[in-house]
Amino acid sequence: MRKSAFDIAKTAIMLSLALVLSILEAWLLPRGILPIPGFKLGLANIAILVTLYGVGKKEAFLVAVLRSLVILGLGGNIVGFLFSLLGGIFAWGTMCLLVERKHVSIFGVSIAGAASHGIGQILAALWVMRTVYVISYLPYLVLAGSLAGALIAFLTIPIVKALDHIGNEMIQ
Amino acid sequence: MHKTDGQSNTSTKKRPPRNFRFSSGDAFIVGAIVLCCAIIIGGLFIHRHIHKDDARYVRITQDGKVLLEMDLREFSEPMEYRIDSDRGHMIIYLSSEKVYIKESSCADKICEKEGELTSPGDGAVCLPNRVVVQIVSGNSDEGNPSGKVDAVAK
Repeated sequence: MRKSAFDIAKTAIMLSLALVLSILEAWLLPRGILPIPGFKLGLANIAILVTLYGVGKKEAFLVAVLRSLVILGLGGNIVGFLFSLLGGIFAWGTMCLLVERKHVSIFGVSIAGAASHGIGQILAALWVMRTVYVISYLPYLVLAGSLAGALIAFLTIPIVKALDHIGNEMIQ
Repeated sequence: MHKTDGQSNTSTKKRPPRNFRFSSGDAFIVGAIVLCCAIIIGGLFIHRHIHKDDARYVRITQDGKVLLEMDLREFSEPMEYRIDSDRGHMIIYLSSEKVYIKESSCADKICEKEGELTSPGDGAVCLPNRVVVQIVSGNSDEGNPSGKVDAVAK
């Protein structure tokens, strides 16, 4: 399958953006300050959303999975990797289902993605901790994540517009 | 499978619609999420309400031997339980609300980082001291959460 250099460049840049945002988030939001364990803004989802809109589904999947892998390689732990991987794959699946719907905007895609990310994380927690009590976190994680998802969509819009603009100029 | 000059794919590929305004489908998604969360929170609330009178026991074991097993309701005021052994010492905070490992002589302090134990199923393990602290439910079905205490029979 052939790919244009522009698509490859966009995917690569978005992967590095996802990594930087992951690290930035780990800096900004140290654990213990947030009321819900495991809750994050999900800044890295900006990069995954941009890839989904600007390049394609497969590339967005690559960005989501490679991000988790590289963070693991940079000194993350295996439990954190499992959480982010499962959360990321769930979010990606949901966003793919919604992204081409006519009546669903980028806000709906991002919010549903964030909610699915929370569900994926709870499933990982169920598996790691082997106790059903983690389910009591689920509604709070999902509600807080949905709010964050709306913010993420808002931040993503200008990037998608800018990339479209660059793409249009290249064609002309 | 034919070769093209490298750029043509971009322009012909179907792109997702650029819908950047909150739309009807979004409202449906938000509504569904809020509804599901409300149902789960409600269900958990009812579950907690039904089980709120179940007894919670704290069980402290060392080398598989039960050192202490007490109903949390019996702690009218908080107390500290001290374990001294040839491996080291530990201080465990006990009250009717919560239990946590306050101090441990071990090097890694993983057990202290476990934090407060409040619900059946919570537990903290100190491997260097071979001590397990856990909260178990008074209900015999759930009373033996992970089978960890199978060795305590005698």
